[in-house]
Amino acid sequence: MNSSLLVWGASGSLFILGAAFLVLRRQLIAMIIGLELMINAANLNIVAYAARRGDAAGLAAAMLVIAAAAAEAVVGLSLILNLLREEGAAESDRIRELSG
Amino acid sequence: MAATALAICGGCAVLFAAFALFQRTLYGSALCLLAVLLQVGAAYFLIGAPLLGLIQVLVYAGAVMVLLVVAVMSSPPQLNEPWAGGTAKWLAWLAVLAPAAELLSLLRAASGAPAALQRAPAALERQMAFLLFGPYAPLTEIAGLLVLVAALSILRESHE
Repeated sequence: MNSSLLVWGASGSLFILGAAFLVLRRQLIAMIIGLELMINAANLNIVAYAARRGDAAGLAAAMLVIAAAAAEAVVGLSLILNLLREEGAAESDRIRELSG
Repeated sequence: MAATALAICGGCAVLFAAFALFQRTLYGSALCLLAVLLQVGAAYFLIGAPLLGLIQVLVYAGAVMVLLVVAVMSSPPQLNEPWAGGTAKWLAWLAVLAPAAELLSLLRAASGAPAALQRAPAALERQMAFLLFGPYAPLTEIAGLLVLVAALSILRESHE
């Protein structure tokens, strides 16, 4: 069985499902979940091809992507918590304005 | 054998991602995401990057999931209509069927091909560490700074 095709299929499917989450769900937390799915799909592809080619730079890039994605999740969830405290709900169609 | 395990991991990850899409409660979606993240970590092990698999489990399935569960606990329990529009649920079914068809066609194509799974040697991870703390050290510092700033932002948020 060709493992490259398997990884390709799994990561492509995860990316499509993450994009569907991001576009079709209303809750901001669900949208963050979709974003995490998409980042993981991309990372899976990077790691698979880096390991296959013996490319350490690809693995290092995947490590940095994990760190950046964790920071993104923290900031996103912190913004959502702030929105929950001020608006009482975290739905995408209820955000009408941004103020500094 | 490893390719079969990889196929099971990938299939389970896609299955749980599809389950997550159709959960009415955010708790259900978060638990399905946890399953997906663990499957992706296991896939890293099988691909030949065990260190990244360990970091995936620690950072994603550990730290990020805790934050996600805290956010879910703070949010209202359930929405009457979680979908973005009237036809969104049908589009979501389409988003499940398209990857299923893709996976099936790829499995069919992959079954005849020779196994191409390669185990990365431990030297590869040593090389990665050398890159991260050698030529890529500024990038590593920036990523660390980013995580620190994010942690400070959530501390400030909880303080308020």
